[in-house]
Amino acid sequence: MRRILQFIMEHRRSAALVAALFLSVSMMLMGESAKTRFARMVTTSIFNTGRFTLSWGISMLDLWRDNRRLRLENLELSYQVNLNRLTELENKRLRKMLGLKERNSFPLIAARVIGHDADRVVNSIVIDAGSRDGVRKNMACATADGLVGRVHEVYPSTSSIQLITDVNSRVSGMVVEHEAYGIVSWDGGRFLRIFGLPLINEVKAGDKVYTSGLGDVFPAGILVGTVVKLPIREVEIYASYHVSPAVDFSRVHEVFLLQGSERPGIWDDGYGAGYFTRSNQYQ
Amino acid sequence: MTILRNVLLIALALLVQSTFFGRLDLWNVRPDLGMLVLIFIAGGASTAECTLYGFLTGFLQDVYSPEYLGYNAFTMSLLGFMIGILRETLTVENYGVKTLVTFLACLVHDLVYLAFYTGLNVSLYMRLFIMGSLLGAVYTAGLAFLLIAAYEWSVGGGLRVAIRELIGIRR
Repeated sequence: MRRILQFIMEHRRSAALVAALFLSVSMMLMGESAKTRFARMVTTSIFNTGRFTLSWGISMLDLWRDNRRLRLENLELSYQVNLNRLTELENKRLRKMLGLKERNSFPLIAARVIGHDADRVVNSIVIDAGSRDGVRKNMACATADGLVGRVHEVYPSTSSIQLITDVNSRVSGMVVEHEAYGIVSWDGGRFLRIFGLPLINEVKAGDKVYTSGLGDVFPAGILVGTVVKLPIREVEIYASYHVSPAVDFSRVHEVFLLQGSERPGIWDDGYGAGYFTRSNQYQ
Repeated sequence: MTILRNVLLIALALLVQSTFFGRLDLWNVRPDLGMLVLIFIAGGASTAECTLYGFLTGFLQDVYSPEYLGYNAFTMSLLGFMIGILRETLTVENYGVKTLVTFLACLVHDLVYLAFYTGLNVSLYMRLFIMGSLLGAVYTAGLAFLLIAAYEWSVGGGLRVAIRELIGIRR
């Protein structure tokens, strides 16, 4: 083997010529189909290599562009999906509210919640309907879930709603199952409180509390909440119960105002309408 | 590195030949760029290398027309060998002689190639040789002359030197 290699090295010129001519003649003697197959194989290999080499940079550029475009598209679609989710939720809420409208005899004014009162003492929300839309002071405000509060302040295009979770709010309520009347108020915490219920009534957890219509502040039949606790005894003949509000006040987006529910002549000391003074003492 | 450069040069020449040079035909005669590149490469290669470069050039030309696979490879190998021998024995400096070598190389190529191509049909052989090969050799040699002149001119200082000499500035 070494001798052969040595011979080739010594006669490089001739060896190269013989090898080249031998290969050429071998190719000439190939059959037609073998020639075509071989040529196709060579061209395919060469062109594929060339194409890969040349197109690599272009492919990378295309990938970069595609990536950038898809990122933007993804961002846009995410935004669109979020909008759709919000629209879907709004749609559900409005459908529920339409249900409320059908079963309520009061003409309704629809409004959108545009803010929460900056005053931390007053628990209220701001809506985008005002006196121009027919909103009047003391109108009852509700959602499809239940009672929200009453109109506290009216401006031309906005109004402030005092929530039933405001310390100055008082609602005349009724536990329907027992026809037991009481006053619903809030004095901090998660729950409302219905007090003044006679002890003889066996109110249970899960009983519904509706507005009674007494006192002419709120019309009767609006759901206020559900009794969730056992009685809190204050005095011997009356009982108090915790009531879970029917409305999740952190998720109120649209409300209805019940036209005609307001009483223009109602006594008001400037801190809230009702039968209570500033010190919450019965008049 | 030189080998890679030469291989790429051959590939590029054939690419240009099959694309751009196809439009430079005169009476259906085209210059042989593969031949020009082989002669250029031969200027700095041994006879064995010239033979193998010749084989590569011919083989790549054959791949375009598989029916005649091996014809160009054989002819160009032989031609590469001859050019290599010539370069080892003779130093060519003159433009005219370089052009003549190109012209003769083209003729030798066609003499051998047409023998395979025509199957030694003498009348066809003569017709193709006279009508195509002679004109092709002249065309290729003329192009070689222009390219050699341009190359020498650029190596020798190019346009800047030419302008300086024209306006009389001497270094």
